[in-house]
Amino acid sequence: MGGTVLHTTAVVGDREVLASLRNPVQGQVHSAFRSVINVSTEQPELLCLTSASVPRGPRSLQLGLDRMDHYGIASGDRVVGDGHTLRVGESLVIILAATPAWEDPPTCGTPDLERVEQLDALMGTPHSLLGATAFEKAVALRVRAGIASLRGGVLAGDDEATHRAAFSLAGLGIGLTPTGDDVLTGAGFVAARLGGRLDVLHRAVADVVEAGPTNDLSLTALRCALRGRAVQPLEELYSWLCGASTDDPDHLVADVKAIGHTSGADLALGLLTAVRLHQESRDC
Amino acid sequence: MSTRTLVKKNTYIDSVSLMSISTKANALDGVTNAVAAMATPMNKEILTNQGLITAEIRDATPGDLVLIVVTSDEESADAALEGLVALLDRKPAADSPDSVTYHTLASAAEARTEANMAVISVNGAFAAREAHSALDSGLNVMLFSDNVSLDDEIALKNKAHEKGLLMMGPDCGTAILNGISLCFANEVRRGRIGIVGASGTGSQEMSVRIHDFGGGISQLLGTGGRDLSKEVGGIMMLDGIAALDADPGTDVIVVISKPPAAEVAAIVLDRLAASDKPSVACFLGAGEDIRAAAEQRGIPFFDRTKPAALEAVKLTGIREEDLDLHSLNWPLIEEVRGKLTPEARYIRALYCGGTICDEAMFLAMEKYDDVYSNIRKEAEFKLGGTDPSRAHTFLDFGEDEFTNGKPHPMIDPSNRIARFMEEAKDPEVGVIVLDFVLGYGSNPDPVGVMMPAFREAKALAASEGRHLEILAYILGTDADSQDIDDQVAKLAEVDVTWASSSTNTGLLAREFVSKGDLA
Repeated sequence: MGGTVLHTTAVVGDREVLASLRNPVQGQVHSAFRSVINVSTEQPELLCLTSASVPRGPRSLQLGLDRMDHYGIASGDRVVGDGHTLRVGESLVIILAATPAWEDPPTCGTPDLERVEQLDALMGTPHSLLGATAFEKAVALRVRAGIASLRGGVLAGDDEATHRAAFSLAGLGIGLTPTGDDVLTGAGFVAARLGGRLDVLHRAVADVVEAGPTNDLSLTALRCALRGRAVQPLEELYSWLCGASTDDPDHLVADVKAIGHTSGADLALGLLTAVRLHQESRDC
Repeated sequence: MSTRTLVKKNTYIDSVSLMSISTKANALDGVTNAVAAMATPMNKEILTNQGLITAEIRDATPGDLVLIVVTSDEESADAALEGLVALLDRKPAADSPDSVTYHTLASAAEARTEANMAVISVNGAFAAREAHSALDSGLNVMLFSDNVSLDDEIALKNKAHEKGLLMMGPDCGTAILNGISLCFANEVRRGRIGIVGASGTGSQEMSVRIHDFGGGISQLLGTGGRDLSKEVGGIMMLDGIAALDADPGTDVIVVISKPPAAEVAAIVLDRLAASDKPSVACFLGAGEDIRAAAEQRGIPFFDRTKPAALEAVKLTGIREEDLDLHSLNWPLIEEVRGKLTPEARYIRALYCGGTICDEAMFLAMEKYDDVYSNIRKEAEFKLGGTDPSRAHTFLDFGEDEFTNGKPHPMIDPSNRIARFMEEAKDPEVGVIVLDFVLGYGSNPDPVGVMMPAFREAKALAASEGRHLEILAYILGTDADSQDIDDQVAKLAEVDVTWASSSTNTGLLAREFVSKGDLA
């Protein structure tokens, strides 16, 4: 008989992640929070282990645990997968057998103009466009300027200008995933879904990922966005925008805003920015 | 104006905490500006424009956290940075301030003179040494570790006997002493029945059945599974009986074991007969010679746990007619038989608990000749843990072959889940049997861990047009922390049949796959 280790199943997992974990994997804990443990492996994107309360998302395994910070797991702890289980540090083993895969929602057409207006009204002005401290106010100014430049670049179909604008936002601001990264993630997600004249935006965000001027967490989210993938609340909000769901938009917006501190609002800001750009570019 | 900065390398703080820290830091005495942000190039550019950049910050990477405080005067700058760092480092309260760590058992025994028990759970290679140290310090021992040699076990038990101490184990997983549960044990009512068990889950099952029948436990002493072997000679079982004999809180003594060596069983039965207290002997899989020896000495004898527990509570004055005896559900048995195809004729039992695996296996052996297991002694019926199943197969996942270097399956069910999925694919399988052990030390949600596998197995069988019966036993009480009702409800949710006792589990399994004949 051995020591006490918590063994738990994954409630649901991203299909990509589950496929990769069928093979042996080695890594380490990148960062550990109350509800999330991020794991770095030999793959470029982090693997995200979440408690039951965290929405599903790309690169994530959702566990049936209330919290993730009760097991003494810390940054740098070893992570080993043998194809059947994933051992995290010395105190947590995740059983992968028969874990259901989370499916991406199907592609859902293009955003509906009326719903875009409705969402704009519901969102209000994000905190990141206002700022409270001197640092935050400086960030807010740059975010506004960056979004304006991004709009100009995309509408002109100007790769170089869009590239510059994207880089002015990358790694900018407060929060674990800085504001500018969240805006780019939301915008990149829409660009991947809609393509067309937003391809210039997609290329600019891809340049940011390639250069990597921000932290690993943001880079993982940006990479997923470029494949048209985002956390579930943002996916659901986008589906509603496209008329693919009849959910209550108040609830959808509340769910998005609940992501992180300002991240949800910033993701939605990026999403709305890109959606409007798509509509405006079609008007030409 | 004074500025203090600090770069914390590769430090990730969640956004909510980071913003909260930033807000609180800006409210600290004397602070005019505080920043807590990731050291990305864009943020560094802002800090440069605000005159806050330093060489250290310039060299920081996007994974580093930058902390800056600006204060109105020089005097408060250091304190402000300390305040910011303190906000960052604030952690939830850890262990109780009363807890103390000792580096050796001897130093612990010296410092804690009121302590009289050591629970030892270290690698088997070092376990005997630690147990000797504890006994030498005058401590009773519960040795949870396995992989301890027989010679070491005998030496330890002889030493304990000479010193008048208990030496429970090795591989002793269960004990309840004066109402305190140690290692794997269930939350049971306190009462007048004392148990000495040479089997972990057998003892747990006995205590749980006694609780279910309205009785209570005074003490539960474990001996380790080899105690009733010819080599060990029942040293701890005999000392345990003597302890219960002397315990004023115990009115009835119950002993339970897997098949004992006949000569040792006789000595144990002699000791029970010598006691003034009534007793019950439950030796699973014991032969007719042991049954006859018990009857000769007037000791009520059973080879099943449930009737043994019933006899024990009756000896404390509880009336059988007042109890729900959970008799076998024959309509259910007929229903399951009707669903199974002729081909689906075998039991595949995947157990965490060794003794309750034994009990189900012995019940199957009463009816079938082709029962194979990793815990059968006879070579022709012995299976290795990784061997494919044959006919009726019973596997104890708590055996050394599965636990060497891995936690016990009550904690780590991964081996069992993998085997379960294999068995579910076999069309010759009629019923898969699993046990789930609740109580202290066990998985907080043992059934929940299996739910995805249950769903997948059922779906797989259905897609092939066959019925797969899954029979589960939950060893636990209504007082265990895992909430037995919730665990049973989960089984019902995925159409898994629940058995009410270890004995009924074995009986149901063998009847489900019986092709029409009676029990």
